[in-house]
Amino acid sequence: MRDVFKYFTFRFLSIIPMLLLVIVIIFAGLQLTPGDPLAYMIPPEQLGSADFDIEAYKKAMGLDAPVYIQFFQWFGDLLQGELGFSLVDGSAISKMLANRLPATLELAFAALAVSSVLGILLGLVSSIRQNSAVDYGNTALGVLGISVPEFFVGIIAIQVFAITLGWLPVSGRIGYGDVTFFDRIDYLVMPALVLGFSLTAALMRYTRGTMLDVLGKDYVKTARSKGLPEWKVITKHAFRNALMPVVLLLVFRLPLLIGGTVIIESVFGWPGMGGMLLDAVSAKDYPVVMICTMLVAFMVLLASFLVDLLTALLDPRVRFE
Amino acid sequence: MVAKTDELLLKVDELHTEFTVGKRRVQAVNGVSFEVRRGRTLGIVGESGCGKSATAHSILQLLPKHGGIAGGSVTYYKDGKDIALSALPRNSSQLRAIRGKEISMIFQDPMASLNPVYTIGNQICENVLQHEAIGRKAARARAADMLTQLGIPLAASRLDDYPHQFSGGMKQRAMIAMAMICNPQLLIADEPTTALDVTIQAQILELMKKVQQDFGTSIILITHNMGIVSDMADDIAVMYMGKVVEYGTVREVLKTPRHPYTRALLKSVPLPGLNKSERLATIPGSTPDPSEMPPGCPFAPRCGLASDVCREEPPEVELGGHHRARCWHTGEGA
Amino acid sequence: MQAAEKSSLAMRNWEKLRRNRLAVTGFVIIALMSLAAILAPLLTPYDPGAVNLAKRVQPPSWAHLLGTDKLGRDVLARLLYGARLSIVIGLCSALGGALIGTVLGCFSGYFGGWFDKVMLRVSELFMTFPQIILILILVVFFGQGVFNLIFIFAITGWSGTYRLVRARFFSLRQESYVEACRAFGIGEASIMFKHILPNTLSPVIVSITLMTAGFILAESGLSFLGLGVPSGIPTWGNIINAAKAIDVIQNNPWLWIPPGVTISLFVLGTNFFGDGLRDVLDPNQ
Repeated sequence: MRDVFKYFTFRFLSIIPMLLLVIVIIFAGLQLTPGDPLAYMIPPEQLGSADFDIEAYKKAMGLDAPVYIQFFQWFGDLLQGELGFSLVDGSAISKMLANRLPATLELAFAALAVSSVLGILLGLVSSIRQNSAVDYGNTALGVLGISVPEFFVGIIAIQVFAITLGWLPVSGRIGYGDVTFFDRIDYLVMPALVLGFSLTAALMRYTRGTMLDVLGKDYVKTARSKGLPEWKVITKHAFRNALMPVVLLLVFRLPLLIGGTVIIESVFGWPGMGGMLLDAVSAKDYPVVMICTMLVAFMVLLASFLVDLLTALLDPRVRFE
Repeated sequence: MVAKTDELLLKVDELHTEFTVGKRRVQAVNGVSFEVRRGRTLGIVGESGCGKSATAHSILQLLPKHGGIAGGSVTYYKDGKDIALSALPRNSSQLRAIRGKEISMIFQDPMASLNPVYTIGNQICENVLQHEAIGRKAARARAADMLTQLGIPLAASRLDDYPHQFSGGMKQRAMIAMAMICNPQLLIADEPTTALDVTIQAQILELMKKVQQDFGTSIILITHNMGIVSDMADDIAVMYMGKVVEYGTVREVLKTPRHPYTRALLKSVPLPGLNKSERLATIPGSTPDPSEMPPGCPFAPRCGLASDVCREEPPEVELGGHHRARCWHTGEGA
Repeated sequence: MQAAEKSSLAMRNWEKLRRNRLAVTGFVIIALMSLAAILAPLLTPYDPGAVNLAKRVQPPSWAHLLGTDKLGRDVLARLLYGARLSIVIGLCSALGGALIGTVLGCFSGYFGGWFDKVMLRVSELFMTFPQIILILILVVFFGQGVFNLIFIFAITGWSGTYRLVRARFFSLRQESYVEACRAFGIGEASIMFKHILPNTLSPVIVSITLMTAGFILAESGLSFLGLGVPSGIPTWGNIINAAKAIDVIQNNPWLWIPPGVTISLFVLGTNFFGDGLRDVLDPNQ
């Protein structure tokens, strides 16, 4: 296990330069926006007061300093959680995020969990029962998954499960509070499944492919030659190896999933970061857009770090590199 | 040392194995018969594509999904009882009780035959744990013991290594350890040294001889290399296009080859003490496409002795002892 | 002689393509829908932009086969004319992205060195960052519009082709025929464009097909959010944009089922065709 730990530390340290790069890019993006680039860092109540002298304030805050000093000031603020204020309604970006981010994370994780389990399971069944009815059904699902736009899947789901059948609420989300988990999960089911739909299909197709590939490998034959029962050959020897490329596919698909939250949140009225980003884009609220972007980039980095760890756990060859 | 006996261990009779390629069925094994005797080594030789590997895989029904036994029988003799292996369903529990325990198998490419994500120890122990009521600790000790016997230093500590930390030769040793750990009656080795360096090849072959001496295991050694067979085998089956064309003891086949194909094979490789003075020769032509087999003897198009009669299926000619050849011209051209 | 060989290879591929059921199905779907888009004026008497407040939100009838929308515009006419723009946006963006990717991939793969290292990192950045969010940010900077959208799609969608071409160059550079060219003193540029580039063509064609499908989906998604093509211009995404309201989903299915099915069908056809094309052109992939 020590090699795993060493690998973890190494991977973790290696994402720090990427984090810094993202922060620099975001700062550059803010500098490029029209108007006073860092004026959004001024609290709105000060801007509103009658005797507020913007020039004096800027001087006091170092906003007239050279760009690199401004950068370090801004970076320092970031580290203390001061993310500035929206240009539109003057509310603190950190507060907006505190309201919105948990909803998006909840949705993304639910979708990721459901589609990983479902996609891999279906792919596994497909590969073992090749050319069966289940396999053909899965192939059809796979084709739909890459062709039907997710918002259309969402609209159909609303029409069928919420309006016609009345099983699930049309839209919205219940915040944390004294409601039970089961009260809240009703609202999560549809958005999570729809968001994970295309990922499920992709994972299914891919798992099927890699399983078929692995089942033809010599070490599977070795396992059979030892007299192991077929279920053990498939789970212990084949599946474990097929899982590694599938996890890699997950890395490539994660950005798509995170991006998809924007659309799915809009379809289901899910009060997450997607809606916040959309409003900000429509209103040209640059600081909010940039801070959201930064967070998304962090999420992507974190997600691919986690996936890296998973691959290292799965494949001894990776962690000895 | 366990004596070479005449006691029958495995009998393959008129075995036919087919593969489905697209919509066609290809006969890979076309009526193969041979016997394996206790404590002896049978070498199966032939060019690639002659069906020797398919024959080996048919014994334990380890064929890929699109292949299967289409006729004939494989019989395993255990304590006076005979078990028809070919009649057992693929992956059935009766067949699995034989696999790894009574008959085990090692393959051509040791890199590909070991599962990259499990430790060597895990993969060797798996075999004992499957077949014997034995604890993990005891299994580990057995595995370490086995690896030591096969010449891997510090075996106990290397059990926790992964296959990629082993060299090619060590991987094949690990494969042999895995195959031998339940002390099987028969070891099927499918081109066990083809993927290895020449120097390592000799070590692995020596090891297999040692294993046979120590455990009295019978071996089926599949190879395209006449030199290896002459060094290792007690009996030889020469295969061509899915058929055994000549069969007999090493002495019989190498000293008095009666099938033109065997002779051609022998002339194409340098063998110590056999063909020192002769020039090496190549076999003209190439093996025919299995789907466009000529009628009669499949070797006729490449054979110097071929005549009109070779367009008819050649007879199996008994030549005394177990020696037999499938040819119209067994008496000629020696 | 060489020309004959070339044409026989083309013929063989054409034969293979024709026998590939997937590719043929895909091609027929794309061809029929594109034809319908081109012949839109012959297929419908209505002007897609003509507002008719007297006939608002009418269900399908003989006069309006797919009904009318909130402004009384004929949905079928909007779908047919919208197809023109949606397909053009998808195809042009894919071509643009492929062009950028191919050019960068050529240089990267042929010269290697620091340029290659930097470009590889940049392409990784583009690949790992959610494309839709990148597009949203760029929409803030460039504003909405058909050409802006194509431009944004192209500059965010080149990384796949880039990596493909780069990898191809890297492997072909090692091939003996390129070595032979060098030995004969053929210039670098000539080797690059006359001898290596043509060999990267077939995977690029496949990726253009699949990218077109992706961009049509992206356009519809963005327009659905109201941030793609300005809402006055009919595209498939703008038509389905109406279904953001629950009462429309519930009461006016003709406003969202036809455009949704149309998008899905076209994307399906393109994916089929692309997969079939890959089977034919790239047998080892």
